[in-house]
Amino acid sequence: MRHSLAIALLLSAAFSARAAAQGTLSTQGFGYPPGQLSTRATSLGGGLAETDPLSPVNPAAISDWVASGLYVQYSPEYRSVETSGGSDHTMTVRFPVMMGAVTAGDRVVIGLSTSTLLDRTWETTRVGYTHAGADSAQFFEDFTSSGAINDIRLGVAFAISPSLWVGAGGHVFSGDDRLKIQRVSADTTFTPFLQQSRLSYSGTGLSGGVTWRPSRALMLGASGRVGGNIETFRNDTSISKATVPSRWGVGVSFTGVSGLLVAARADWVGWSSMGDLGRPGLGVTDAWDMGAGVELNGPLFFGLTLPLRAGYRHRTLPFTVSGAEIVENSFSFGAGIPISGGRSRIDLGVERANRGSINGISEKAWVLSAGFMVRP
Amino acid sequence: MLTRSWRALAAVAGVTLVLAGCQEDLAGGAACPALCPDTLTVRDTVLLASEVLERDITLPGSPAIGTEAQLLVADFVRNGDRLRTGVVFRFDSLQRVLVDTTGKPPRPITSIDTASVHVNIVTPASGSYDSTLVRDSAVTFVLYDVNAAASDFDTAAVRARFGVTQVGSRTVRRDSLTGTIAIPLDTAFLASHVRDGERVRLGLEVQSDNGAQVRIFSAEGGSPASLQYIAHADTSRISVALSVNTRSSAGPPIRSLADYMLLLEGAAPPPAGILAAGGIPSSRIFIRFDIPPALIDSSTTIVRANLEMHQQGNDLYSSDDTVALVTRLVRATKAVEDPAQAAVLSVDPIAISSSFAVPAVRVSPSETRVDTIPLAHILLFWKSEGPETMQRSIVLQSSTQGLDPRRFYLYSSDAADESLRPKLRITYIPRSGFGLP
Repeated sequence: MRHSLAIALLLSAAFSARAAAQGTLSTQGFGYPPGQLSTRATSLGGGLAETDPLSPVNPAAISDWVASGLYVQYSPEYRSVETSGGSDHTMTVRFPVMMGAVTAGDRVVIGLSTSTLLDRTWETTRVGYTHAGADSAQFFEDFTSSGAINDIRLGVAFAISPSLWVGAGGHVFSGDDRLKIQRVSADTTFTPFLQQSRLSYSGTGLSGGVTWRPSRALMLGASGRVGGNIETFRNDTSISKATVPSRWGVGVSFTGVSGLLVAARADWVGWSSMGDLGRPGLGVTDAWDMGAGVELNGPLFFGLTLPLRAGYRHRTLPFTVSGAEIVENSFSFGAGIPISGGRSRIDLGVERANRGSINGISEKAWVLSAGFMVRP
Repeated sequence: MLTRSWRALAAVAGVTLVLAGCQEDLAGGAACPALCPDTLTVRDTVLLASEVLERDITLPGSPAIGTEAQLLVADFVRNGDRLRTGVVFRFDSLQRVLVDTTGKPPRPITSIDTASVHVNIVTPASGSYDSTLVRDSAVTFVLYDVNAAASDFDTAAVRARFGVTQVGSRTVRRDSLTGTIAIPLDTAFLASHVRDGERVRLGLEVQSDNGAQVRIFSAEGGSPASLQYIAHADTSRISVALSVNTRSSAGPPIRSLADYMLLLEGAAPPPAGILAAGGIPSSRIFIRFDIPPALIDSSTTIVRANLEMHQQGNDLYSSDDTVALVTRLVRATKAVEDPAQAAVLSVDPIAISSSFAVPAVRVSPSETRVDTIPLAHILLFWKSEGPETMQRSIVLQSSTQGLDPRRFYLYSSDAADESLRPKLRITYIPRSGFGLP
């Protein structure tokens, strides 16, 4: 019996359960990808990302910093999950992009950024039953996950000519995830249960890109990222390895009409290369992200022209539910407030996202966004 | 222009601060269980007595003679079984001289009057003695001279003295059984003992046509019985009040034996091969565990551990009232191998922490059933202590040990029928190393 008990314990350790208790569509798997977009780019449906210096997507776009500066973005998400049995309303705080850039002469701009690749922050409370022999006892479970995989990029943009910039970036993907499960039972013969786990991530990647302004009214951007290895550690022990997803994207922005900017982008991420990072059977799929938006000069605000923005974005989220892909469609709106004669700027945006529905579950979210760009 | 810019900045900063001030609220769960499959693997295992019990035995004589906090004087028949108990009061040292403040030498006491023994009645939980405890409207307390030329622990010689030489009595109405009762004592008997320098040892019984049981406080219970008398020497007199005592010139005193209870007539001791808790004289059950380290000394989390004991119905003194089977935690090191000594070092788990409380099993000993004793909190405590120093043992005892003749019979690990032997049913969650999606 003792041998069988020991074997049972070993087997249970070997085939331990997965942490798949997140009760939302968007935070499946390793989490939700905010998109690595600035507030301005988000407001334009992501259409501006390939040529936006504040979105850490295309290293060549760093060139548009023009002068040294800092950028910080704050994006709380108000999410609702609707099911036939009820609904949840949650609020998640994110700081998805932080960036700094310095100019080195007229032809070189260096940028350092950190952005959220996948945000795995959620909390699920639920009621279940523990079955012990012929008995069953009700329990109340609180399962929390707090953490993210972040993309830290050191990028350099170099001017081939005043209208043609190329860029390269070295990426380190790091972060951690703290998970905690607590259970208390209505049956007092059960003791409260608490187990915690901390995962950390380490990976690398390289990216490159180009921005080209063939005319004053047109700007093109294209970039790509090649993923290196990424590993997951628990207590300094490597528990899984995979490849950082590669990414390719192209974008165009048009300013041929006075006071109007139109931008569009298509982006593909090979998320499936992360499959081995999770447990066998992790549902992950490659995903397209397409969006477009417009920016036009709006009314005066304290004497300054207020750019108004709107956009639409359609994308597939990387992690699936029971094999079904989760599609996100979002409308976004925003405005920019120039400060200090336009050297600095505050961008405000709001995005309405619809995800699903899958198995009768749908998700809606309001994502507010405030980006602060300062160039002293 | 600059001023306007900064006013705009201030306005936007205000909006941002409002946003930032919102409290993060992550808790959800409406999409469960569709999106929330069980994360934890819960396992259940049953460890048989041969796998988990190192020792399980009955410890007779608990509480030890003289250590009772309350003493039962009883004479009744229930379900055809008779119980007759008596209480011994020892007054080994008496006041035999009269000392005054004039500086004169002490004068021997020559005579005594109004001697009595005062006993302190324990009020029942119901508030008073009713017909279930004292069947008739009155009960008679009888005192006997039980002095015997025998060693302190030769209780047989003392027991034989009950009913032989009566030295006092008092009949008390049932509704007057409260507070302190004074039982008149034969003054000639006491005077001779005082004058002759002899000790006084009294045996107390109750007599009632249809049965009675009365509890009195002991010295250990904080309200000992006392001997009171008026002593005379020449023309002087003094009022004397003495508590029970074992102060004697012969040998070291064993204080706990100043008062104790004796079984005069009762049930046979428990049969062999059975674990017994309770009864008069009372016994306890000692159980020492040897839980597999893979379960308790590992990263596995035990969430439930129920000790299942098969109870054999015991009809002796049967009644419908329930008695609690109480679990105590042994706080002895592994060096204390003798179960009787280890059991002395047992405590109520709640004394360590309220979270370790083990609910008592309230049941009638006459029932045949499975008693389930939840030990998960105890196992967690043992796990926190580690396996090195403290032994992992418990004691099971009756909540009315020494005061109620009913006795729990539980099958031991030696039971002929293996299915009746104790089992430890453990529900545990292996360390899953969870986190990977």
